[in-house]
Amino acid sequence: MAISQFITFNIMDHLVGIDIKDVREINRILEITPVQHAPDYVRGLINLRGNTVTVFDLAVRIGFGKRDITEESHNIILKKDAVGLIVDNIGDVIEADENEIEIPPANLKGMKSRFVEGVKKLNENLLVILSASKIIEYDGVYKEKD
Amino acid sequence: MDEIHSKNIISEFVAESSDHLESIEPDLLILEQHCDQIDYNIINRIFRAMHSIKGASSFFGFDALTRLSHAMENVFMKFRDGELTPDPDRMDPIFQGIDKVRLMLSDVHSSNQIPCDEEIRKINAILEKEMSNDQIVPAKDDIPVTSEPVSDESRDDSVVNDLINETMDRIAEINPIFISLKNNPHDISTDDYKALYKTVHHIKVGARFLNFRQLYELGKRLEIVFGRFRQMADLVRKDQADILFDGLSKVLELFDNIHCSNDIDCQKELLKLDFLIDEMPKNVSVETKAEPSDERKTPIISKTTALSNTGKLAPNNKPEKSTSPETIRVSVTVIDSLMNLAGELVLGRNQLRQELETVVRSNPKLNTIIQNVDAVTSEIQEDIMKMRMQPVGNLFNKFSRIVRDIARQLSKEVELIIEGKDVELDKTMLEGLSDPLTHLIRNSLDHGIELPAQREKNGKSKVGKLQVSTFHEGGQVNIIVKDDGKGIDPEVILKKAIESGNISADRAAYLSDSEKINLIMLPGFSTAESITDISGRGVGMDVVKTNIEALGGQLELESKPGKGTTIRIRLPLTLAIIPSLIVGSGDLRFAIPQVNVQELFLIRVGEKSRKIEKIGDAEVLRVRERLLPLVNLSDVLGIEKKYYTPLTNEPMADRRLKSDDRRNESIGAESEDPDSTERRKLSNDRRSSWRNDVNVVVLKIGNNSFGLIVDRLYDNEEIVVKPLSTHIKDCRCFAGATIMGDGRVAMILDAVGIAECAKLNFTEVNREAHRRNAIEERKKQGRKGNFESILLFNSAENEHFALTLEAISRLELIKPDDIYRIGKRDFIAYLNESIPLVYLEDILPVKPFPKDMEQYFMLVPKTNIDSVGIAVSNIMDTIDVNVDVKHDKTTPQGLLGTAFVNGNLTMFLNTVELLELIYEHVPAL
Repeated sequence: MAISQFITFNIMDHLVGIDIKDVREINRILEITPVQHAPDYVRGLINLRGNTVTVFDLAVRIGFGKRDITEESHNIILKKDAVGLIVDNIGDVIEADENEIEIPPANLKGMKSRFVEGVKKLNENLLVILSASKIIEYDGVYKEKD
Repeated sequence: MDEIHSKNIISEFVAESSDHLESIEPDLLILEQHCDQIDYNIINRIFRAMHSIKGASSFFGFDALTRLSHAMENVFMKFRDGELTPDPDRMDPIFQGIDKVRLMLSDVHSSNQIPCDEEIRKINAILEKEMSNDQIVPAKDDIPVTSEPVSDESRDDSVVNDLINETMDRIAEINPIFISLKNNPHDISTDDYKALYKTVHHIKVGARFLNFRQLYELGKRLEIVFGRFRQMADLVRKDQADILFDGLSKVLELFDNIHCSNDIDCQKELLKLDFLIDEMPKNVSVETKAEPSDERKTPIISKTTALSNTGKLAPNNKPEKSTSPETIRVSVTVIDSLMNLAGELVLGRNQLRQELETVVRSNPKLNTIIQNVDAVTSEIQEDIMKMRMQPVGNLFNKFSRIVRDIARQLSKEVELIIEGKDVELDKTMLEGLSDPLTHLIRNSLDHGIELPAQREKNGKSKVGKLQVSTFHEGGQVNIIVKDDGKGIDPEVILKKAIESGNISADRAAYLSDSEKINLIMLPGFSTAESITDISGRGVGMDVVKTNIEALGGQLELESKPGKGTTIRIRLPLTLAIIPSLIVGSGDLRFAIPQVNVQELFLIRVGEKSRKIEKIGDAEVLRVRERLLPLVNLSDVLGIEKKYYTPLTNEPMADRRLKSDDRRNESIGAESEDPDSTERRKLSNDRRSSWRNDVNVVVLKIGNNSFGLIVDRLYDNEEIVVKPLSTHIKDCRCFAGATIMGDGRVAMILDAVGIAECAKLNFTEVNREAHRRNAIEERKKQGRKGNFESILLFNSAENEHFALTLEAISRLELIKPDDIYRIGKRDFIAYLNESIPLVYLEDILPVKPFPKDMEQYFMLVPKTNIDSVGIAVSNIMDTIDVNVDVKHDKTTPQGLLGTAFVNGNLTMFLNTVELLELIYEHVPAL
């Protein structure tokens, strides 16, 4: 009966959520220093009160194109490994009971399914729940583009 | 509330006392080393520390602690007064006592349950021993050193003891003055006399209260004299000082025998003092007559005013109170948060500065204010960063003690050499290093350094050397622990490793010596035959290694049997501050560690002596008759190039493809390039045009160097390195990241990585890249790779042998004439001794060696016993191979097995077995 809370945001047409327990903070530190030769999903590094945080473009990470940074963009800092996720906007916090969460359907359009932990049916649409630990996992098989 | 309060006080007491212990430990060691020549500052420091521990613990009712520290205090008193010398035998119980005190402090609330009678007994024994030798000092049963419970009868004593303790404390403080009273009274300042005055006053009051008449009389007179002298210190004559000295000595004597003090004759001293008082001018004596019963502070205050009224007599040579600088304790979390806040402050300042820029013109005063705020903010940030850094000396100091104790325990003689105490490391890292380093030092002492007799036998000096040094190198902090002991025998390690099942015998056969030695770092490995107090509990080097790796460091072990062992720890720069050059590419800034920067060039267009030339596609710069390959940072990183106009400081896109185009443009004056007209507008003299200047940073990698063209040069800055997350660790151009003064993140460039990315063909770059790749490779594959360098050779013509290069000490060309035949054995002169020459057929079932050759080779395998030579007819090759050597029951002793190498069946020799066979075969020399 465990109830979890999810921070939600939009990526393309999807409503996406991340367990609030994995999130350290949400901020608008968007002065990102790019890191050349880094994987495409790595946007760069930010200074979070004296510590460097690697910032991902979450859209790229889960299989979409690069997003522009706008007025609405936010940086979700995860608790583990000092990783930040750039998202287009921040929505509500949605609660979900454990048994409301279903396994992800096979046809999540354009999204790399390995990052998806489950989905929750809402009134109008689906909430796609991402796994923070999968997102920060390093693939290691990055090839340099020459 | 009260409870919390007292808890706080107690924890304060514990922290303070621990500090005391820590600070006096080096002092104790010095004391012991120079026991014939006592430095009074040192002993006073020790004495004070011990006394304050004692005082505070008795206040809180930690009796055991009180008794123990009191016992030690007594001994220190004897040391100080020169009645005892702090030689090692006497210091042993002291050190044990100190350890006990430390133990008690670690759990102060149950300290009373910790048995310490043994320690106290030993400490008291120091005094008793002395007394039996020296009849002058009578027994002093009055001091509550013994552990007997407080009885009703002794209640009175406790007051006496309080007086004694407190007075002793005061006397300790005035001790240096006391000494100079005897030796050079002219050095004593008014302040010193004030201190003396205070002390004797205190004694006088106490003595009257407790009815010690003689003490009171003496104290009274001394007080009067000091009270006068404190206003005329420079007028005190030698003979007067002598009288004072005698008086004070008498006071001390009375103290030592306080209970029978009334019976001691001090008529002489009293008379002398009376005489002195009569002789002294009376004009300044008015307020010193203050009644003894007065509040003690009153005379002091009035005296201070008197001093300021006279307005002179500045004391120059006050006795040194303590050499340690003043400190306060601050919790690390506070420092961390301060550090972050300072960062925020810097950001705020920068924003403020930007916003104010527009206003500054109308109000120029703002400018200086901004600059001031600027400077202060930077300094705050710097200082806070420094707070976390601590010199490694803090950690190393405790090693002196460890080395001393262990060496004494093992009856070894060891000299500890510490180098690089000033290198600073982050506090957390320093703490993490404490355990592994201690372990390494223990190992060296226990297993490494031999007993003095053994060392002498081996032709080494009796005193073993243990060296701990720290230095910065290659952007890393290196710590080296080196001893000149007996080293590590790879074969012993191997044997143990096989016995304990850590490695299979098959695999073991392929290991090089250094690999064998490194087996010592396998989990649960211990070679110790018996478990000793000091080391060898079976959790050994693997723990050290794990600890170092947890700090992000690396550990390398190198050992030569008979010569010693060297352990090198490399710690990453994380949190270490390194000076760096900041350069710009495009909009971005990058830091280059200064250690990599060789020099800087600004190449102006048209400069004849230095120009950028082109060889094929590659740009080079001629520097001191050498060609320096050039690499453009923006190209390597794929950043759009920019320059900054000197007028407006605005970045502009650079459209040239190669930096050497600048030269072409400047020469081709009639160029059709539309840019050039535009450029002409911006600059009158194209030849010195800013657009054509090139900044080159010369980076060195080993012996090679290359020029890095950057768009812009900024200042030098000290940066704190932040590690890269795994996601960007593969970007080889970067060694880390840092946070700049304005709060933005900047990447730290890695010279080797850049050279590699730019495909520069340096041997060293290649080697380094190769090395890194190899490490990567090895990490990936575990220890699968068994590549080894082997020497292929023949004995008889058609039989092929192989031996790993690791196992070979030397190869020599020999002639049959060099060989001497004694009995049935051949010998040969080698390195000024004769060693047996062995033919493989003598010990292995192989064809005979062709002895008719004009010259042949001798192979000397590595061994730490007696050298032998193996006759070799022909050396074929040395190659790197990865072969499966077949070993079965038919393999004769002395061989690892056989394998096909280059199509030839080759016998792989097993040096260990081979040597055993040889020693069996050749009778002992």
